[in-house]
Amino acid sequence: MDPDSLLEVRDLHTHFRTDDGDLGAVNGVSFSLKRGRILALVGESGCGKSVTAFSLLQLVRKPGYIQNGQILFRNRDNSVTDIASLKEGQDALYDIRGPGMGMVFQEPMTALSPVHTIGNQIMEALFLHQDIRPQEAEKKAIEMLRLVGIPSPEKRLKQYPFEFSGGMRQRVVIAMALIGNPRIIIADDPTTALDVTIQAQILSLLTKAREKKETGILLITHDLGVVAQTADDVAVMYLGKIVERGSVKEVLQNPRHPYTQGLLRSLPGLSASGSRLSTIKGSVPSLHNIPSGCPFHPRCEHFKPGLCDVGGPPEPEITAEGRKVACVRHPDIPKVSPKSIDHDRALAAAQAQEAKDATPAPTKSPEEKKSATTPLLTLRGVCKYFPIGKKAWWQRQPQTYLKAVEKVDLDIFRGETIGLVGESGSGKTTLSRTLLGAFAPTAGKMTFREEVDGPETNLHELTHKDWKPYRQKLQMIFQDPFSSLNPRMTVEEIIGEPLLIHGFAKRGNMRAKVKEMLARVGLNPEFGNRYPHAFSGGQRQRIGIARALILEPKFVVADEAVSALDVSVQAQIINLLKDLQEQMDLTTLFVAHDLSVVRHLCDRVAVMYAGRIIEVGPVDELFNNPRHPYTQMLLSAVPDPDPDVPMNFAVQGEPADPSQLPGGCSFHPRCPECFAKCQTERPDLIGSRQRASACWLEEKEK
Amino acid sequence: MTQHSPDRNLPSSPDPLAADQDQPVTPETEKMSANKGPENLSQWELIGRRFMRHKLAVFSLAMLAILYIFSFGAEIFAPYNPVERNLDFAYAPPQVPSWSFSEGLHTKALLQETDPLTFEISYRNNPEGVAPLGFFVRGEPYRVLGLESDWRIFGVNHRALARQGLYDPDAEGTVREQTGMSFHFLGADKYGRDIFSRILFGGRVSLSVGLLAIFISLILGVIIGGISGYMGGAIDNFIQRSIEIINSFPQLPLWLALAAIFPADWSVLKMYFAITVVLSLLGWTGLARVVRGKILSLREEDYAMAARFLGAGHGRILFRHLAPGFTSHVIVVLTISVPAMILGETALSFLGLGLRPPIVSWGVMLQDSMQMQVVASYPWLLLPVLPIVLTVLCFNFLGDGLRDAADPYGEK
Repeated sequence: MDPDSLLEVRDLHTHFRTDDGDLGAVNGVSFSLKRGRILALVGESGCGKSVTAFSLLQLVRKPGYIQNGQILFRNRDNSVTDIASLKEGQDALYDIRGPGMGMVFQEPMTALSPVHTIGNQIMEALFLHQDIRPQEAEKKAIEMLRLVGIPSPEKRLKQYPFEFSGGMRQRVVIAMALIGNPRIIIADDPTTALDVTIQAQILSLLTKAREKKETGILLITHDLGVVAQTADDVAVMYLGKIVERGSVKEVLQNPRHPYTQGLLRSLPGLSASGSRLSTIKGSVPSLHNIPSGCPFHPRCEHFKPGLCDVGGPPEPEITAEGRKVACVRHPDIPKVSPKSIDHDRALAAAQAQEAKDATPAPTKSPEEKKSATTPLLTLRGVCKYFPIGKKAWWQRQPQTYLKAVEKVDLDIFRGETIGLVGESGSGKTTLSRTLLGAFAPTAGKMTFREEVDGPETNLHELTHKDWKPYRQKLQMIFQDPFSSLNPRMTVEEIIGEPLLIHGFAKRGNMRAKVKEMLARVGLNPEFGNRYPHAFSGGQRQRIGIARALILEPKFVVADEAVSALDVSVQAQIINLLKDLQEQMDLTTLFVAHDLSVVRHLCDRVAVMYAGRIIEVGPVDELFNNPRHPYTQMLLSAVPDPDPDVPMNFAVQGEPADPSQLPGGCSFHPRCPECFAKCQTERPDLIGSRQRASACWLEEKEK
Repeated sequence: MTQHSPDRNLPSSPDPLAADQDQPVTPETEKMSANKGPENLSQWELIGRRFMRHKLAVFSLAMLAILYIFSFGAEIFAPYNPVERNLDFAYAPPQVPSWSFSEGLHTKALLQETDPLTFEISYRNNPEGVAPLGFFVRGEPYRVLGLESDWRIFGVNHRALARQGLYDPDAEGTVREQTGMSFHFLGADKYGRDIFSRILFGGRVSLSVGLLAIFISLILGVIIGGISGYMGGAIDNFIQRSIEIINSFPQLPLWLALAAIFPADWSVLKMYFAITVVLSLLGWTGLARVVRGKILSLREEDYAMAARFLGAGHGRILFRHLAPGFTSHVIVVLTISVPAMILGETALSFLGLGLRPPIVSWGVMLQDSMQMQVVASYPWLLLPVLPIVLTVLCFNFLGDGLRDAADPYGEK
């Protein structure tokens, strides 16, 4: 074992015993982790990253077990233990868990026990492995909480997890992992559940831990941006095998395996917008049917029959760059880099534009001009409050409200795609659901004008019954492809239901229409009689899209429609949405927290903070020249998959709590540019209908 | 605003299907096998599959099926009629069938003896012969669906007796009356009535009371629970508090009080229905809670929200989207509460407050075993306990298996 290595994994196999036989989730993974370095394990879901991490600590749950391989761990006294050979219940294993390797879990909401105080949980990690007096342990815990950036730790120590926000809880989990002074930290997707701004803070915390403690970090993630910005080395996993390995710079700037290249190309990216994304076809197959030969070959664009699909999975080969890549065709595969991807995309966008320009654009008639400037939907002063802490009739205190949406003015124009972005809790979802009549707005006007010259409808005045005809015009695509489809209905019933409800079809002629719709969203029309559980996440999302669009609506809300999907599938769905929008002349409100997706899909963007729209503008302008400090902060916190494009880790603070908003501008406590006026007076949107920002800086600059 | 045909907004192409062809269909349409793999199965088929893996539950289901078949076909499965008295065989002990080359299938014939001092009845083997047994024999006459017959599946073999010249098929009287031979598999009670036959006939009442009561509970529970869950608010609050009040009554005294309302001179049938109503009036609360809880959680699912955004009305959301989500759970709760109903009937009848003779039920039969002395001398009077235990256990195992299988989309 290399003296610098803290951990060496050799040919690890983790299998699961199921009714269908032994399924290999990890099939021969080898890597080593060195002192003071961050190794990232990347791949889509179902590729065995988490199982690898859990195997390292012998934490794989039944029916999983380590079938073969060595996990060599260097102890503090330089002796080496093979964790794979230890059995549950052996003391040696308990000595490694905690002080040897600390774990940071994916879901901060469930990683902490709700019935113990934060302090107890952190100190327990100490009591388990050290002979330490309670006072001393408390001192250490306070010190650690301060280190992970929790303000007033003495007070927080005595609080319970529910009193902490998601980001704060993740800090506590990190503090728990760090307090045992572990040699290795395993972080299993520690930031997926968090907003970009919080993600930046957590990532900078992890990188700091490495510098100070001389520890090694194994970072498991699906986000290439996170890898590029934090890790030193990277291993790309596909179906339980590492397909490419090397330093982050090498791998991300010159990926050699077609899977890594495909992942990079599927990312929407912050710099360019417009063109179609190139995708990896299909999705990660289930472990039941791992393809023969190279497991990636059915999705690979460099697939060569007779070469890639025969024999066992390819062994890693040393490429010309001196890197290990598990691809038999690696010398023939053309080079790809983030720059070349951007370049290709810009070129494609330019060509598309040219093609558009080449077709003689019909000179815009006055009606069309009018159509472009008459909004489809107009929101004026829309508010949505939820009562909190319900007061009974005998209680005299005034009712308090959670102001989820506060005085939103927004115009949504015909045929445009408008993005709605913001951190969680900013009111994006409430606003979009209010717009679709899920609840009546507390105040404000929402008008819908279907035809340019047609009558206006005041949506906010409609009752549940009156809404019915408008449901056909205004539709919704949901975030979660699993819970949004009724598992008890066949696909045909799901997609056909809107037709039945609105009387556009009878049971008899529904089938043809459903088949047509299935084909349009890229699914096999013959799959109508299947149930949702037979489909992958991406396919389910297509079904959800088909259901929303079969009524030919005018306006669609896509609520985080791609955020639950893997990168490669996400790209497919983004392309599909884009195509359908063009064909069906849709107006879309795209709610998202992923700024790169918004940049790619949208024409205009509105940024929300604490229930208000604080900046609105055309997508390129807003991304290239953000005016509001909050927008600037959001943009700078997005990790770029190119390691040469630095990201801003100096993001501060947490999203404002909508039940207790600060006075003045809601953003002022986090704003780096805050001045006196911001703390007392609330700015309104300043600017035109097209481009505006709600910040006193606007006025100051004038 | 008028409703348009949804074709109205299709792209310029006149034929909507032609418009598809230049549509870049992404290669998401992977080859999926067309055979009947799990992807084609409906919810119920998945439940069935998972249920079949639960061996104990499948076995219990088979046992229950046998119990019900035997009870409802009691006329042909039981060797005797349930109320036929034969004091020659009062307190006869169980006669175990045996087999020998010379006699074939037979059982020992019994001779009654009465202790002259204590009047205690005892039996000894009749040295003069054995009672031959056989399948498809003539026993006591009965009427089923207006048809009269005396054929029974198993009993004293009239053919063998006729060969011996002991029985004349053309003469008046049954085999027992002519030959004095009888076969009491599980013994006889104080009037010489066959306990095995009575268990089968009694099962009719005891097993059906559970089902009927559960059916009434089902209607009450689903309607009240459904209203409570879907309407919410004050109605929900009122219903839930009422359920708590009903549940807080001690069950047995309440049953007793309710059962005592019914006049003793009611007909057997009236009494039977009255008892089921009493049982079900107290049994619906658990079910109502399950239905309410399920509706509350399913209502929040995205697909219920999606249906709302599609313009579906309350009825459609409730019956098309929510109801299929909880029917499997309702079935489980029903299965698990059947034993409580059966035990309730047994308890009431045992205490003499439910069904009364001449109707036969397991509880009524157990009334005979109330006296300790009788039980000490003739322990086979306790045998009706066996089918009760068997039924209750089987229903519990079955419910267990159904519960595991009920949510095929959940965790294993």
